Amino acid sequence: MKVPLSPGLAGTSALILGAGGLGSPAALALAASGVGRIGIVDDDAVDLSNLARQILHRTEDIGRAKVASGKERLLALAPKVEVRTYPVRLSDENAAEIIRGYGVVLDGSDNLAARLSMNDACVLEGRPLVTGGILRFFGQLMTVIPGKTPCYRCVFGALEGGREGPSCAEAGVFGAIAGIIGMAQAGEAVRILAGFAPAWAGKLATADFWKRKFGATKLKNDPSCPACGKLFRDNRDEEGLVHGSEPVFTN
Amino acid sequence: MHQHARDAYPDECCGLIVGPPVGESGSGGSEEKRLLPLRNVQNEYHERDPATYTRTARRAYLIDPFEFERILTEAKDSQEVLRGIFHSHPDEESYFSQEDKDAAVPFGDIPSFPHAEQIVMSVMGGEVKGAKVFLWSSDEKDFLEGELVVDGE
Repeated sequence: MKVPLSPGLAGTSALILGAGGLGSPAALALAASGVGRIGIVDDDAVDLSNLARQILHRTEDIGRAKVASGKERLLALAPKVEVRTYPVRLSDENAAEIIRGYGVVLDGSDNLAARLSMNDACVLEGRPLVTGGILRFFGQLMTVIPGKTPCYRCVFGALEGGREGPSCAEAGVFGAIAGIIGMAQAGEAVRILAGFAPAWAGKLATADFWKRKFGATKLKNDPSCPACGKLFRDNRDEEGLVHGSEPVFTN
Repeated sequence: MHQHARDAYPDECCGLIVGPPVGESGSGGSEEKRLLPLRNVQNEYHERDPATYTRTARRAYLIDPFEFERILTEAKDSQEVLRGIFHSHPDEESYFSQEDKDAAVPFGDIPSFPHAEQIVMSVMGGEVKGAKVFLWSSDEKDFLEGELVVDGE
C-alpha cells in the first residue's frame, strides 16, 4: 500500500536534528503526513543498542550512517518526499546555515550544547522549534515561537557549562517514551506547517511512565535571555503584550 | 467583507465567519452569523522565511495562528462554530485555487473545517467585482461552487 502524499503539506519542509529515539518516529510521521522536504542532521552510525527505540533503522543497518539508513526508510515509506541529509555535528558555526530553508525545526539531539546551538539559531532565523527530551521513563516537549514564547535557553540555559545529566546511552531509556515524545513533536510540526497554532508553545509538556503522570507547565521567558530577550522587548506593544502570543500566556 | 477587501487592496484580505451550528440554534441563518475581518500576516512570514512562505500578501493570505485559535476557542465557549472563511483575489477572478485547496485540506483528504463555506472575492483595481462561495463535497472530495446568499452588504 502506498502512503498518500497530502498535497496540503507537499510545499512544506521540516528539519530534524538527530535520527535517534526522537528523530526516528518524528521523521516517519512527517513523511507519512506528506511533508514535502525533510532534512536530517546526524553524524552518528547505527549501533545495535539503538534499535530498541530508533525505529528508522534496522538490524542490517548496523554500522551505517544514521542519515543514510534514515533516508532509505523514509523514501520507502513516501517515495515523493525529498530527503536531505547532513552527516555533521551541529554547532554554533553551522546551525543557522543548516536551518535556513526549513519551515520548522525538530530537536531530538542528545546533548545540551547542540540543543542550545539549535535554539539560538532558530531564534536568530525566526524558525519555530519543537524540542523534545527523554530519559529513562520520562519525556518532555516544548515549542518555541521566536520572540513570542520562551525559548529553550530561557528555560534551560542556566544549565550550560554545568555537569550534564546522563545521556540515554548512559542511563537508558524506555523505548516507547521516545515514540510518544517524537510523535508529539511531529504533531506540533504539522500543526505549525498547516497554519495552526502549536499546542505546546510557551508550555512544557511532560510524560512520566514511571509515576504514570502526564503534565503541563506554563513557562516564562527570561527578559535577560541572550538569545531571545531583545526579540521579546521589540515585540511588546504599549500595553506590554507580546503580539500574537496572548493565548499562550492566558490559557 | 467588501470594505475589508477594498482596504486590503492590492493585498489579499482574509477573515472568518462564526455562528451557531447549522440547524441547531434558531434558524442558523445569516442574521446569527458574525463576520470577523482579520489581519493578513502573510508578508511577515514571507519576510522571515521566504523559502517556506514563497508568496507575498499580494498573492496569498495567512491568518495569525494564535488569533485563529483564540477565535475558535471563544466561539466554542459561546456554542458557536466556524461557518466560513473568506479572502480576496486582487486583480484576479474569484476562483478557488489549488493553493486555496491545499490550505483548506492540509491533512489527508478531508478539510480541517469541512462545514465552513469558503468565500472568495474578486477585487479589480480596488473595487469588489464579484464573489463566489465554495462548499466541500464529501462525495466529490473537492470544493464545489455553491449559491452565494448576499444579505445586507
